[in-house]
Amino acid sequence: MSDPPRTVRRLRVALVGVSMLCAFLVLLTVAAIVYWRLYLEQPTPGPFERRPYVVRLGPTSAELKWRIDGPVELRAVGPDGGSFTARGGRFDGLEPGVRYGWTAAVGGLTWASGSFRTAPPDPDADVTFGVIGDFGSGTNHEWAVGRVLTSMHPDFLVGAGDNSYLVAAGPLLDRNIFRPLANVLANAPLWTTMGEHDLIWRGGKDVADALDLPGERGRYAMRYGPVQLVVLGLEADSDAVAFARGVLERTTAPVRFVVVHRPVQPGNPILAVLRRYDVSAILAGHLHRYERRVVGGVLEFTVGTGGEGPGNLEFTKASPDALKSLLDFGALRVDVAGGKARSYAFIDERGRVLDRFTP
Amino acid sequence: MIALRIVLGLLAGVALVAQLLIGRPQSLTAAFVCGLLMFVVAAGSVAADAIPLRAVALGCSAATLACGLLLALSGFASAPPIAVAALALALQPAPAVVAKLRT
Repeated sequence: MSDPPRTVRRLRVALVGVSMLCAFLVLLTVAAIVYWRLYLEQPTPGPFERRPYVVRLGPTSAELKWRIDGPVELRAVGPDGGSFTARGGRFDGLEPGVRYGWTAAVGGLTWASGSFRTAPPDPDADVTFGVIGDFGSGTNHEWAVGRVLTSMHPDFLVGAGDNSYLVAAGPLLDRNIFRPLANVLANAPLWTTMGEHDLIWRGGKDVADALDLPGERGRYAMRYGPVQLVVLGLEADSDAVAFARGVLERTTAPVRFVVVHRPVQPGNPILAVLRRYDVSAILAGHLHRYERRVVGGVLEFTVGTGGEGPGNLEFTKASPDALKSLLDFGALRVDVAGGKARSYAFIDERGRVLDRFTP
Repeated sequence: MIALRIVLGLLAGVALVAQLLIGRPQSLTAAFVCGLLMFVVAAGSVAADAIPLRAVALGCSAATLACGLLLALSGFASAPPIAVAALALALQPAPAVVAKLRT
């Protein structure tokens, strides 16, 4: 075969380049469409861009946040009929250990409501909280787990991280956190830590700002009545060990939990600290399973079952030392009473108790 | 274009070696990346074989294009990546072999 003329050769090279560019653009377009359909596309009902949700609870105060373009009248009413008006989303002068109902009115109509219970002062008080992890996916599973959490009537929620997939960027948070969990967040604050998907975007700042979380990169301490949460962030590294020791040394709370995204593994130096300060349990995520283990003498729950799903099972293998290991979606209910963690129950997305543990 | 065939062969080879040497699921990452690159390069190869038209080579390029997609999606679909990568690798010298057999 004779060589084609130079012009044809040039045309051919150009055609090759254009074809490759077109193929690349096709891939890019398909990726954008898939991402848009899976992650971004959702309607916004009502006047609120983001319905009010509880972020902080103290013995005599409570704080809510929301997003709307315009004024909101936020009121709370206690069991005795006492009425309170929030200033800047904050209620002050409340009674400790009391459940208040709140309403948020816009344009003379109540568009959102919920309730919260102020932190009880009694160290023996009953407290219930829910634990979720790896949930921020906006899937039907997350919505179902959100409804299960609402049914628990928790005082607060603990998050084990990976609050928003694929990344915890501001525009995705409504789809991934605030809509699926709207009903439970209207009644209980979410105190969560940060996983890889949170930290990859501005170090988790968007989630921390939205949920009004203290600390940096998901590391902080939070107390609610008799419960002390030591929230470590991504993993129990040497800085986390020092932080946990500092908090646990100071706290007077009788019931202590450590929250971390990646489960603590045997041999981690933090285990000695947790044993010394009688930590009730480690609450973790990362692995998209529910697992109950005893690691270095410390009870550990992995609750990476909030909605994202196990995906490829090769990524989601059961821990060899797990006393219970499940692939079901669900959340952990923790009941505290008499200054102790009384019971743990893993409730799946259908409302079934699949694991119950009483220390 | 021989250069494109060489690149496609290399990509298929890398994907194949990854499937043989690295365990799943890590090897699927290699299959995904190689598959996407193969898809883009194979599109160029299709254009190169279309003008002037070389039917066998065009067929091989189009098949490689499909292999690229299958390889990229092998983590999501049931396509065995090792077979797809091997097929893509075999497709690259095929036009030259066929031409030689004809002469």
